[in-house]
Amino acid sequence: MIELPRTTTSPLDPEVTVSDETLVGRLRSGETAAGDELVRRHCPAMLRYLQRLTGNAGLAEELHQQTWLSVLDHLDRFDDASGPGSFKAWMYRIATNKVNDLWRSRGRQKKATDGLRLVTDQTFPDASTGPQAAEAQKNLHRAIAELPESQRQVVCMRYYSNMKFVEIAAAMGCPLNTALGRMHKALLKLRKLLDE
Amino acid sequence: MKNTLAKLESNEVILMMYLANELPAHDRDQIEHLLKNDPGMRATLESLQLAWSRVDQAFAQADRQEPVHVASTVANTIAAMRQWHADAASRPLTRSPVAPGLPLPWWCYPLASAAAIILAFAVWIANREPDRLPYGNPAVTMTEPAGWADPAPPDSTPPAIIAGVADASVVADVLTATLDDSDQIIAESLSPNSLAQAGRELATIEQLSQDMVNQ
Repeated sequence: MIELPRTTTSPLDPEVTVSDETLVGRLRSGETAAGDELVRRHCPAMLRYLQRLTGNAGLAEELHQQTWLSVLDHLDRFDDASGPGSFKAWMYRIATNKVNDLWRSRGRQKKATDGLRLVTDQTFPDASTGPQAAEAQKNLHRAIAELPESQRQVVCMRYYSNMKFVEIAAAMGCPLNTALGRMHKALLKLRKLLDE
Repeated sequence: MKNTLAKLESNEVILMMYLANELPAHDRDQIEHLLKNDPGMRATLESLQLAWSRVDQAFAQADRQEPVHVASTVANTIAAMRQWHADAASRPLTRSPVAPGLPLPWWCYPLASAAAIILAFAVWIANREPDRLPYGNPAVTMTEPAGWADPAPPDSTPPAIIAGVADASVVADVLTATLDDSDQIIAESLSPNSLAQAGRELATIEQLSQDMVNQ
């Protein structure tokens, strides 16, 4: 009767043979290659996430690097016994905090949103794409820029990290109901803005 | 996970979890039963599902058109991490080494000894017997001198330091009263009326004594 809900696999999902938590254990014991593997595994999704939040590819790369250095700085605080997927949630929390710090250092959140809007206005679409696709891309940028920061974070985290909502709530440091409520509002608002 | 549904606060939130396929099987069955019988809820679900699909589609389309520099970002991040490891390896220990047998600075030991002596003295003062004081019972007054030597009942004895303070106050009051009485006695004795009265009383006593001898 009711069609099964959307798939939960992301196009950016890494193929996992060894769990993140195992690699973290190896990294802690001094195996730097384990850290390299973690970076390669999560880079595409994390980079997209940061780029979508900041609206700027250069900033996203900078924040990506800062996130991983922060991971190394605080690796001893990560509790790898908290279950599978916990590292990803922890890492996204750090990345989100980096974005928040960036906005804070640049002034108020409103200014950040204005800045993002400015950046998205200046984003030029790929010359290889048609004008219709370019317009759609621009619309998404504008629609995302219209969202409050917390809604933007939850919708981007859900799309790119493909974490469950329980993990997203943990990554955002809020209750599950709050994360779901933000996602609900963000979806309805985005749809409205995209169809305008 | 059995209580997942109970933890969710609103229909919107429940439908989000349903759409995300993150509800346990029995909760899903329950929701599907509700959806069958509630057209309004079914319409909300369909609207939400459409919105989600639309957003997913927009994200996918935008990602196809916006390249990200994964290879260079990975390379730069790994290089930065290697540098971090190198720095960490060459970083000096933050804690200074301590001499064997002397884990604390030299001045800690006399300080600790002094503190121990002060503590012991304070304990001794606190446990001192209150009846060793001549004015140990605060209820004693000058009119009841016998009570000065009486020990206070054990369960009603206040701590020695507090009792000492109370005793000092009582003694001060008694001394003040005594001085006042003395002043009054001296003043009365020096007045002419008092001397005449005393003479009259003395004469009366002598008369009475003479009468008794005569009888």
